[in-house]
Amino acid sequence: MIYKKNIGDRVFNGVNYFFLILIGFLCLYPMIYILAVSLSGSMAVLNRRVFLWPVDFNIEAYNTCFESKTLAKAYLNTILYTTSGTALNLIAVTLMAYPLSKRRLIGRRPISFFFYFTNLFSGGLIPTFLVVKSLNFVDKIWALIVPGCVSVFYAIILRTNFESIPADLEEAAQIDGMGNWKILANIYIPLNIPTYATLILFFAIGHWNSFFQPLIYINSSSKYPLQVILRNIVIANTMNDLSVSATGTAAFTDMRVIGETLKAATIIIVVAPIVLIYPFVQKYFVKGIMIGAVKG
Amino acid sequence: MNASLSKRKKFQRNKWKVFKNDIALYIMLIFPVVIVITFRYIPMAGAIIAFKDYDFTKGIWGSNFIGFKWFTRFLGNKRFISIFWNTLSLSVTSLIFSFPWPIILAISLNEVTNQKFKRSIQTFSYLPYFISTVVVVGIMHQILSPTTGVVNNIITFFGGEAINFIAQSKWFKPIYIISGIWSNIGYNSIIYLSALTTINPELYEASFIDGAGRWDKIYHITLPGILPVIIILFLLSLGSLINIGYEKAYLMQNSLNLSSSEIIGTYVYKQGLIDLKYSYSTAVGLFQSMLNFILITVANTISRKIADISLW
Repeated sequence: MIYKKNIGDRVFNGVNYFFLILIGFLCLYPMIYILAVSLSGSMAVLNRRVFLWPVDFNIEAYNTCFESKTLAKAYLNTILYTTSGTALNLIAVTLMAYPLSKRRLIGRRPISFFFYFTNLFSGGLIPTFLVVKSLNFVDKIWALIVPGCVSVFYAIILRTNFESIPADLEEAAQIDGMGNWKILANIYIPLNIPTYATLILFFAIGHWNSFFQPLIYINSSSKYPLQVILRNIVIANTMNDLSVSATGTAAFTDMRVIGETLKAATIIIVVAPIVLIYPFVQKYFVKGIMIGAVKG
Repeated sequence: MNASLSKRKKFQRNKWKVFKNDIALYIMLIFPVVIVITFRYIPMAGAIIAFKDYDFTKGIWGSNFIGFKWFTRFLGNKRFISIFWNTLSLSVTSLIFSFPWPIILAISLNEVTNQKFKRSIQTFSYLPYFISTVVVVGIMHQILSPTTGVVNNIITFFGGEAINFIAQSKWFKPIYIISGIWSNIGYNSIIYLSALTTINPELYEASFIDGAGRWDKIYHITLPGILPVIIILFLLSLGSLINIGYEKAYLMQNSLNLSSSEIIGTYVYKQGLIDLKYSYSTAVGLFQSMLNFILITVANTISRKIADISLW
């Protein structure tokens, strides 16, 4: 049907497009601003000359960041926590979703409720902390990746996807003599790669961005992940660097004030991997969320 | 006789095989179940220390039982009343002001015919969701800085005086809410966008024949079409009203804005893990959970009675 474009229609479209462009710009602007500050000269920043693009372009801030041993260690820590955490997440979620996706499983509903109930009630911060402490997980990687590895929300999404695999595939495999483990590994997992891509994305970003768990469970500064270090630099205005920069003017160890450009550069470095990977995986997660949300 | 015997044997052998296979399924479940028991259910039982005077030398079970002493203590504490009020007002205002935006964005995107434009704006709008809380607050500090931040740059450019947003109590709530809208508008719009695709296109065509303009269509077809989703999501948001995320508040806190930035969540954390008042902090946390549960149950019942839409 062809709609005749009248004035009202065109005004509407104009306003609509303007609104959407504004939203798009506002969503991106904070990152653009921080990037600009990080690449600007400190005097330009102090003189309020930076709005949208770098003024007095220089990369000194980034040089200082790359020289920082603390930052490098934190980066390695975060990569370690993220990869191991995501792997454990995937295992836990698959082991939970696959059996529960079988209608023939005896006790399926009570077991599902058993898991789902944990979404409604929680013991609270302190009791959970005490349990983790009693297991001697404190100040170790286990405190960060084990307690939360069973994500009920994502397990349900995965389970829904498993349920939609036609039963004859499984029957055919059973006739061929495949056991449940083999069926899971050779049929169910390969057929759900897009879902797993979405899960990997969300788990990885969750671990990369996690701040509060490391805050309460990690005490050794050498084990701090990026978010904790970042918070120290950018918000608490303190930083204990393990090394003094080669030029002697160690901007990081200047405890009085850490320059704005340095803070901005640190932010960019911490956020960079996410921003760079994000466009590639974006198409996966939108679909994943829609399926999960509508069915869940 | 022989034929039926062997058939029965085959049937029994198959049933055994099927059962043997299913043992594997239960074995798979062992790991998740153990994790959930250890880290979700045992802490629930451990919340009993809210009614005890926890002494780590005596452990959870050995500590003295003191009933509701902690509860009466914090309910009578003036500071706690103000913390509770902070939590409530932050949550409610946050909900009211941030709830409509994802819906508006979704409807707005839905009205666009140029798919490339639509997808670009969507891509831009989802990005803030993936930025960590620490980075968000870090960006906040940069943008709102009284000496170098761009907001104050603009203010001073027009001749105004720089405002120290971060240090003032009265700015805590607006900044908290606006940054929340920024973070979530794109991501939360996804589910509305998906709901919008379920509206029957014939309804739009029929309304065109009746002379409906763009606004009419939105008001009479689009909004009612996604109303169930809106209500369910609103209910879910109500459910986390008291539980409002304390990570951001904690990061935004400083000694100057504490009168509005201290909420139940941050209070529980500080009393529990910094002041090491384990029992007291657990009691406060339990109180919060109970309130939460009551709130979501009430909201659910009301919604069921009025609109026949509910979570359970």
